[in-house]
Amino acid sequence: MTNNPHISVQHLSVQIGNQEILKDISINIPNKKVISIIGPSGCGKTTLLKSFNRLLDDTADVKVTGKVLVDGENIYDPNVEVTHIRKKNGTAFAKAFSLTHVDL
Amino acid sequence: MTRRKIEENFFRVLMVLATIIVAGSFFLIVGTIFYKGVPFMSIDMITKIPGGGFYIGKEGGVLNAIVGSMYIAGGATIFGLLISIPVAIFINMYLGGKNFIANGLRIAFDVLFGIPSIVYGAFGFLIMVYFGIKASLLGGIVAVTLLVIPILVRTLDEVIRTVPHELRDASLSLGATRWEMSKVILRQIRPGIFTAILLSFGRAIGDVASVLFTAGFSDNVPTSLHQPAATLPLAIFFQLGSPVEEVQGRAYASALILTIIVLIITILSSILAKQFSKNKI
Repeated sequence: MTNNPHISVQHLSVQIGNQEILKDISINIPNKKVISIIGPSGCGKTTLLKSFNRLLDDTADVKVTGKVLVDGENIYDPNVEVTHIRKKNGTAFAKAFSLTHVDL
Repeated sequence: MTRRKIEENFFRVLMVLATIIVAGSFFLIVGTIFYKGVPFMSIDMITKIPGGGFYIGKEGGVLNAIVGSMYIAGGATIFGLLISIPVAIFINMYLGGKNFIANGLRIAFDVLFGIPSIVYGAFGFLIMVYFGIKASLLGGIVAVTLLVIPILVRTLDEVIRTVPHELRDASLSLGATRWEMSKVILRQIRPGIFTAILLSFGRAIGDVASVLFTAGFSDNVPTSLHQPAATLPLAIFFQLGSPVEEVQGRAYASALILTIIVLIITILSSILAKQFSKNKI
């Protein structure tokens, strides 16, 4: 790990309804490195990935605590522009879609 | 024969019977309309307006009602779509995690869906009185638009909900705004929009109660929004009430015209829906 991680997750907890999906996760992801997150189905891998660009915002009854710093900027700060964060951190999901005729 | 086999056969027969009853009713209705309507069908029926004495068996046609119905059903469907698409998008794309508001709106539209059309007619009539609009094409379009909005919203809502959630995530994760994401979803639901148009147009063109007070009735083709307009269902109603056999026969010919219009719209919608499903994910 480098001293200046690209993504730094600090004490991240995600609760959806009454279910705690992620509990006090802290992880540093360095720049230009390939990182694998491995775990059984339903352990929260996708939730963690979604928390990196605030895709959880659309989930019903979601509660996110802790910090996710991308290049030192806390993306859960209320003043952060969400689309700016998402443009910076694209996500490719297991099921691929081609967004034809979309110009972002 | 075992109990399971008896049960299986019993339900198979039950399902076949139910299908025969439904399909049989369809052919019986369409067959009756064709059988009774075709002898009275003529070019005059679709190209001429009612002449003097049309309702006692003299010459003329129902062009006034055909055009009136097309104007009202077409106008209401267009206005309904302009209102319903943003509502359906708002419920699904903008309310996000606030499920209780979205579900509350869905229940409200379901209730509106179930309200008898005469209530829309009465409500439309109240609006017209308030704004000083007389029974006219505009009044009819307003009342029928109110009638079709719940149908359109709920149909579009269900269609949007069938779009894979991953597609929304994929567009959002690239930094799309909600409006940009909505454009992606709109492309996906185009076949569904045609289904919604078909349902809405079918309901709009066949409804009597909502246009009874609001559109009025006229033997002329309306040339402005402020003129009264005839509709095919009302024309059928007036003609069936006549004691003259010729006029009663024309009612079935009018019903045949109405059926053919709905059939054409159905075929067109399904062709367009298929055309636009090609790019669907």
